[in-house]
Amino acid sequence: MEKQLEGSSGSATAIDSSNIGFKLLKKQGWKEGTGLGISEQGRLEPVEACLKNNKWGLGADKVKKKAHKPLDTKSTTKSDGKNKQEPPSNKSKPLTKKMRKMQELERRLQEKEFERAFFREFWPDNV
Amino acid sequence: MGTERKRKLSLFDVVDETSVPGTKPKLNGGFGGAAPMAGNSLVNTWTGKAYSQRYFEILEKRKALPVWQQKDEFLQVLKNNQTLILVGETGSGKTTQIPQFVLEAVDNEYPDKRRKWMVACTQPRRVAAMSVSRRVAEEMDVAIGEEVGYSIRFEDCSSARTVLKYLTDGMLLREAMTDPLLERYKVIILDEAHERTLATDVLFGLLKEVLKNRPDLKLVVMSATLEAEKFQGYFLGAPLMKVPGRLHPVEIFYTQEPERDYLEAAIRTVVQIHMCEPLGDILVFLTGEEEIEDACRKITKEIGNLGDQVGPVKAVPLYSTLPPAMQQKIFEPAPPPLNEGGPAGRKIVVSTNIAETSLTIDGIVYVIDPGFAKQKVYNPRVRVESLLVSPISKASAHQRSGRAGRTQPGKCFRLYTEKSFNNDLQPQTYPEILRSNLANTVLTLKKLGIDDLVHFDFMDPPAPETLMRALEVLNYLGALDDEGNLTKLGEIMSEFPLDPQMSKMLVVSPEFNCSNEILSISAMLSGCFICMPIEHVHRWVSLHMMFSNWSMYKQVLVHALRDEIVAVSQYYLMKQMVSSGLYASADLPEAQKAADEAKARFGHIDGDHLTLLNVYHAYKQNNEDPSWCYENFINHRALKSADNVRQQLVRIMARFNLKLCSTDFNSRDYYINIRKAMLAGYFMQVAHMERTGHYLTVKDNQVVHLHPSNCLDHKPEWVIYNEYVLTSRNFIRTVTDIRGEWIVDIAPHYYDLENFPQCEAKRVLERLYKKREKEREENRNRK
Repeated sequence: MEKQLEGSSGSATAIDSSNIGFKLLKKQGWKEGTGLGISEQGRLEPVEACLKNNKWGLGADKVKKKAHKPLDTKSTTKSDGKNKQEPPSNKSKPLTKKMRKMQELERRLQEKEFERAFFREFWPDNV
Repeated sequence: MGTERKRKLSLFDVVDETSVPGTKPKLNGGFGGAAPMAGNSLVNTWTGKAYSQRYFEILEKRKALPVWQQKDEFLQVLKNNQTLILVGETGSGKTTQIPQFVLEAVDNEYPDKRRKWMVACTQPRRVAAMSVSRRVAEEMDVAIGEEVGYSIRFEDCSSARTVLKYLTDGMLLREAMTDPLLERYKVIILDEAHERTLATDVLFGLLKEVLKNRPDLKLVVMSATLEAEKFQGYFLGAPLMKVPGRLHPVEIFYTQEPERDYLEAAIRTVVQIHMCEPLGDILVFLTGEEEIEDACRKITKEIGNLGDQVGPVKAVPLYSTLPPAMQQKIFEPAPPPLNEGGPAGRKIVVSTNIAETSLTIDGIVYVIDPGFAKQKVYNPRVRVESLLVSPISKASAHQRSGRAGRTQPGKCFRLYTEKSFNNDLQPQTYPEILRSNLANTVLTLKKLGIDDLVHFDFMDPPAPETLMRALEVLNYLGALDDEGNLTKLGEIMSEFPLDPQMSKMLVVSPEFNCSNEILSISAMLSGCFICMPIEHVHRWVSLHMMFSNWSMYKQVLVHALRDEIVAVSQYYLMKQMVSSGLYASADLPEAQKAADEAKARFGHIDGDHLTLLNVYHAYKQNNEDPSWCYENFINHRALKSADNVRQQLVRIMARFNLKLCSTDFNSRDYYINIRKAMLAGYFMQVAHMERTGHYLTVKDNQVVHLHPSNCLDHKPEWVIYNEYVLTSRNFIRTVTDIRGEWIVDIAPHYYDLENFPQCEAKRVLERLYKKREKEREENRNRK
């Protein structure tokens, strides 16, 4: 879920005129509603921050929202999902099936190898 | 100049034994027709010694760099203009060569060797300043720290002889504080300007002013292709020079639909490329070390699963906190085929965006770009600065795809739709100045004498609220008065290359009779201790192996830390290890024992700052002995660097007559005074435990959790924290127990209840204020 940062610029309130920073900026010659810079051209709002703690691809959040709403119209969403996954899964699925048995062994061997390489790298010279 | 060179020649003309082969001078002579400059002589202009053989070998390679094609043109433009903008791809050689060209030009113009002048070249990163200067010293055949030097925070490797200095942009800004017109420099080169770091942006505005007052100063702005026209507009039409990169065409592919899981999609794409595409290495952009390590493992596994039908792969991670030795792996060649005639191997570099502009890896033909990167964001409304995963900009996407075309035509796979590229990506990444806490910057600007911050010529002015927050913080710390003028205190604070909070804590520490201890704590906090989170070590270790026994584990860990700048007490580490179950269960008692011992030795139940202090003291008591460090899981190098930082801070303290003092160690007040002094700097970083047991930051009311690495044995009612870490949970890291009464005594101006949101902390404070009031009355009555 991409959620707004707790109290991010969207939800948190702007710094108001009672704040000493606000007053100091005014004393420096800033006028409310204007930006900073040589011709007061600067942005008015702070840059927004969103907390992303999932692995959804770029643009996927929009698709999900769309797909979630019409839950009853299964046919459309289903075909949608299929189209999306077709090219990649095609290749990896049958392969993993074929190799399932070898997988375990391979993995173990690989980890062993890694371990060895790792030790070679970080073992003190005298060992 | 001619006579001088002759003199030196006659002095050294016996040195022909340096075995300069007979052919070399000819080769050399062939070049120098255009200008009589270093490079066509046998004698080094800077040292007066004969060039070594290596010099000529490197010179040949240098001449092959694209910038050499335009050397004369560059010198011409430099001669005729005060400011110039140079655009060149990474790998064009601009960072190493241009400063040397500039040096030759200045040397020709000011032949009087007795007059002191320098050329500065700024770098956004410390590592770059160090490594590039080393390289250039080698190219110029001089010793590093002599004619060519570098200067980074807490480390100055330059001398009176230095003519070319690489320094971080932040350091140049610091130098401007004592030398407002930067009079020691004749030319200033701002390199990697496209990165738009905070310090570079401030330097832009500053140098624009300085240039008006110093007609003899020249400025060269160097940038990758991004935003060059914007620079030109900002520098009032300065001429723009382009150094062509050696770029081949890159074909770009988009996905048909958005990806559900970009990490999985990236790995899938790697496998597909490996199976279907012709030879060539792959570069994958991901967001952070955890993700990168994870991806490397998965890639190795998935391709391993394919068996002999495909070639072997080497998946190499790359991120900034990776030990340098590991970073070097990206330059190793792809693995050879498993058996002769078998399918060829491939190197797969999985990197953060450091491979986007600042690092060039040859042989990359395929780029996979999921469209995300970690970015620092500062929200002035809640006062939190954090690293967050966010979509990249179109400019970044271009830059990433360009990485595929460095050696031959390449392909870039964007793991998003073309529509997403057009609609979801902003054109440029926000410059750092829009995403940062500006408290330190404002203090620096004030010290530089810039009073009108509102109309300062920022290339991209920050939002007014960001500046308000900075002014507010500095006012509460007493660095600015209520009119916004720099106070005496503020002036001293600005001299410390530290956060304003830490500077404040140092400046007031003599009042609490504990400046020695506060110096140690500050040094421990700034000596890069905190920039390497413990999770990294933990993750790194856990990724690679399970440990069968304690001593093996310990050795591996210390070596894993060898290059890292982490020093933590054994307790810190052990606690994490035990709680995460990383330890084989059989060893648990031993681990627990070790952890308890370490805790008894260093851990301070009142807080992590005090634990750091204990570690530092123990290090000193053991005569900085490396083997003692090893025994106790402490990184010797990190402590040495902290000690160095401490010495420099001591020098600054001495300059302002700040007393070095300590409370008697046996006194009850020893630690209390230290904690009070810390509060005097960090009173704006306080969290209060609510009755429900969770913590709320004071005034902002953000729910936070104590970071699991803390050393406390209890949950204090009030804590100060050094760092706010925003992840899925909000953590505060490096915390120390403080008392409510101290808050009322030390920072009543900030804890002013009229200006305080309703919360539990407010009610507690109300009681405390009343109690103090009563005490005062009783005192008066007694008198």
